[in-house]
Amino acid sequence: MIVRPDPDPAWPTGRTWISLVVAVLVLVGYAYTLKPLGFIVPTAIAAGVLSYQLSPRPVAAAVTGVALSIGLFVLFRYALGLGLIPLPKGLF
Amino acid sequence: MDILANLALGFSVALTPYTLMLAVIGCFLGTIIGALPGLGPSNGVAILIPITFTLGLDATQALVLMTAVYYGAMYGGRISSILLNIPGDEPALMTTLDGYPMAKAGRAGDALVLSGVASFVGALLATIGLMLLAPMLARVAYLFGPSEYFALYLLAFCTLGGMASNNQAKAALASCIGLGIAMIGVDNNSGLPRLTGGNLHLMDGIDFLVAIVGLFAIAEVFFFIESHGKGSSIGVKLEKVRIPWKDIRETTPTMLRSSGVGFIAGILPGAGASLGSFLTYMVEKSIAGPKGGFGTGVAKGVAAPEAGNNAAAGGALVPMLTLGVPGSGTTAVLLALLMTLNITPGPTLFTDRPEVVWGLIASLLIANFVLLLMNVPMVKIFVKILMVPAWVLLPGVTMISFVGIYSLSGSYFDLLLMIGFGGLGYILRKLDIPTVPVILGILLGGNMENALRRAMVLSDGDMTYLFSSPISIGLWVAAIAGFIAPMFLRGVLRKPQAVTD
Repeated sequence: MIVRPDPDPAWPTGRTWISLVVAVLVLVGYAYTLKPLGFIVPTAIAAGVLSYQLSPRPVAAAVTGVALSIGLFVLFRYALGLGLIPLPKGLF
Repeated sequence: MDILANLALGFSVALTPYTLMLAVIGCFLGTIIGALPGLGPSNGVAILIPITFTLGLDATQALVLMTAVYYGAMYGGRISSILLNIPGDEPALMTTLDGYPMAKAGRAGDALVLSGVASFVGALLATIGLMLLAPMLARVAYLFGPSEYFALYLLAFCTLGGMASNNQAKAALASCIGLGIAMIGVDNNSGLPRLTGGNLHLMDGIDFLVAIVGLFAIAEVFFFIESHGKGSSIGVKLEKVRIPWKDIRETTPTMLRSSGVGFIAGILPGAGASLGSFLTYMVEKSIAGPKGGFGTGVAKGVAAPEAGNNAAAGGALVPMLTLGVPGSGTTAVLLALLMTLNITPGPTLFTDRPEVVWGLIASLLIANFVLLLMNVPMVKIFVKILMVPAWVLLPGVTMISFVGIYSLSGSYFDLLLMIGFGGLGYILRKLDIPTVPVILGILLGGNMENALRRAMVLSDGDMTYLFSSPISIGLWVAAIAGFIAPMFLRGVLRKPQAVTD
């Protein structure tokens, strides 16, 4: 590697870096909030932001986030029987 | 006939309605996973492992589901290769060379059906090969002691690193990173914590599922963000799908030859399906000669790599089941599944848990027929699924990975680790350092260390014990050759680039 290095990879520049960092931060935030805030709200936000990073259309991204969050919750909770908490305890 | 009795046992396990249903679901999911660009067999299986685990399936059922997904993904990879010119997974790269030109010439339906049949032939022959060869190899494996196992693990690292990457040093570095990660946690022998940095969460070591999902799935998401999810629109039209009997007849010898070559490539530890499809394409190309028109959309060019990669997928199960050494990235993930289910692959698996092995083989046979049925008449459904845009798919994949890992341990720390591995995977792939040796290191590191320690205890610390038996010397030679030979062969065996429009 040192004697005969490969050509340098094309590192992302400027805006792409920012969206990568944002994606990581969102995922880290998601990891922390999944337990205290329940499944639906953090998932909708995280999925929406990720979707926005992939294709910058706010409405489509928001719809994707909410739909994915509810759809996955139904799938996991009722079809696969995982014990997920939908919403934070004590809210209702 | 031992094999017949064993097969009968296998079918009695596999033909229960529930197991059968799992096989069908696995085939369906697998085909989708394989077809979607960016979701290959390794990430697909990796994401699904935690979920299967939390579903509480027993060992055979989980294994049936996952291997059905594995075979299905191998079938599905061809769909996006042919229609989008984007390989759905790495082994399907060779299928783009002739499949996409064929689709552009208005024969997309023919190409899909033909490649489906070729996949079926390859996978079926490989499963039969697995059935015949695996028990034999399992008997040989009884002769293996700790020093032989140590050499065998080394062989896996060397061949995988040698073949799978473009740079030996980078592959070696990746293996060492993996082995280093495997060391994290409390040492089994002395009880001292190693490389934990005083962090209590790390005392248990790192769960390899967390690492695998992070390195494969999360890293993929970062890649998609970088490329802004471009390039997933279908460029060719798919008309009515008919069965091109003429092409199938003409390519039958090609399929049979390719299945043989692919199966052997799959058995070699570390070589896997990518090498299988590559070799078979090259073999057929040289048999056909310059007049064969390979690369312009000929039927043989579609049939050969598909039969090859599916045969290799079956072949790769042989070393995984008999020796516990995976033959490819995806079988490494399947090995992770076995280890999670507390099954130790190896020769004893065949005697202690025959229902697992033969149930698996029987369901592979069943899965194959199911896949043929799904992939020929129902191919249009999968083409529809391909139209799911990346900005819906990728967040979905991420969320499924998170839930899967979260449901394993319920700890946010594992999720953070997974994101960390995602970042690591992204950087490694950017630097062209292969990630599969890292996974292999994490998976096999513990076993390799134990083998070395046992060997040292047996020999009272004498290093030459590692080279004391003919088997281990042979393995060492093969390991060194497997690592060094690709350096010289690289000029000859250059991977052809995908065709561009």
